[in-house]
Amino acid sequence: MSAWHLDPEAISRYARGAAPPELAASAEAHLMKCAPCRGAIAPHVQARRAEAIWHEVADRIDAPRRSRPERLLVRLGAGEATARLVAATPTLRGPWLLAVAGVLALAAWAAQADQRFLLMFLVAAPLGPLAGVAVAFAGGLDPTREIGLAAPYSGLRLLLVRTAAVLAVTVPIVALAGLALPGSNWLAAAWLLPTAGLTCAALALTGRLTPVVAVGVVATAWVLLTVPTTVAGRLDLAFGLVAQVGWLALAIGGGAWLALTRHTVTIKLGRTA
Amino acid sequence: MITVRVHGLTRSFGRTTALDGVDLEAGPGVTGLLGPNGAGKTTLLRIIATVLAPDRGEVTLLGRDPARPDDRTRIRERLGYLPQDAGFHRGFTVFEFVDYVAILKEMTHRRARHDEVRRVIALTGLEPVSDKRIRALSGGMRRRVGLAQALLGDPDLLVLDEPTVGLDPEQRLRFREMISRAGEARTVIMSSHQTRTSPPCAAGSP
Repeated sequence: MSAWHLDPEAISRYARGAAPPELAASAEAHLMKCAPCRGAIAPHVQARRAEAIWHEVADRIDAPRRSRPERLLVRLGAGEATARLVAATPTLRGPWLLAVAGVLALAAWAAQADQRFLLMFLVAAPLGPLAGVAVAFAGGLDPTREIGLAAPYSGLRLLLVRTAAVLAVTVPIVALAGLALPGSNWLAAAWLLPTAGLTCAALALTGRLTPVVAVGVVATAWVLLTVPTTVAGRLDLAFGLVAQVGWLALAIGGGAWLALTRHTVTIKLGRTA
Repeated sequence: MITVRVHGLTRSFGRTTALDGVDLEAGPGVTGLLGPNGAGKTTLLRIIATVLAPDRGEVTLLGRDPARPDDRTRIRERLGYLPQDAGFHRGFTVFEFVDYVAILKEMTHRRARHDEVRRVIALTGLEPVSDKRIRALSGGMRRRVGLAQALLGDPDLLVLDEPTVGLDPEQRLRFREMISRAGEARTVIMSSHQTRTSPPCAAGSP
């Protein structure tokens, strides 16, 4: 037991949380060893304040350690709830990302071997991110889809969070594959605006179709447009300056439509009511 | 007080008619749907859980119409749902998974959400495995995780599809007790194709 004790003034200030840091530290160290002072401070402690402090301590101790992707997202400024939702996105799992990277690396390698295969890369590039958006909502790949459908979380918000996460991961993969293309051709970046336009068009269609079907419709239209034109040697029709303006307009139009109808249209995340 | 009212409900999948003019009324307590596999229990429960729209018929849940988007959101705020084939993100721990569903249930305040997650984990006896990954749990434990997420937010309407399937007799008994307790203060609608599951905890079977 200690030979000295906290004076009543120090006890009162410490209990109210009004003690300066050095006094608080000294009082805490003393209280750990001195039963009479713990007895003296007890009547001064406000039960509600002590409970709130204990609650906070318990929450910090009991809260699960965030996974590495969640920690990274929180460090980048995402909210902890958003980080958890992103961590559960099926598309962001390793095997899927490896598959996308593999297909695009193959296309880039083929383009290195033969310039004509550059077209294959340009056609395939937007399909990676697009497919990622579809897979993020595919019934067979999202194990909690049914539970999620019965939850009040906004379908549009979930759609945008997952789409942003998919694009943030897949677009750099496509860009890296693009760097492997032969020469410093501007075509290496020509897929960017089509990707934005197609993604926004698919999102805009989710008021009427599920994400998987919407992406399927948009991707089919893309392939039907680009394959004949590129085979005919008319790259400008899909990737030229005028076409790029068109893709930009599609991206802006799709985004604007989503924004305008966000309160009136129910996003179809599945075959829902 | 009637909290679930279904009238003339019809739902088909292609040429197969799963429900044909079904009527149902249920209030607080446990209501069991008993029938063989393929009888349409899951389809009916999915409609009551607002994840599937009927082809025809009227549905009123907690006094609201799930066909209207605003009403549907309000219903979902007061609804707990355990699907027949409840899936899990197996890399999540029990706490993380239930927390994930709590986020989907719009529990935005972190500390209050964590308190609620701890409450339902305790209620379903999952405290000892709270920090275990779901892939490491037995089938019975996973079913309890499913029930825990359904109990989040103390819902007024609890929809449980075959909650005891795959459980051993002792686990079934525990589950029945949990469901009976849950039915003391809310409407519970559960399905089963096992006659030994439904009657002891169900107030009535339509």
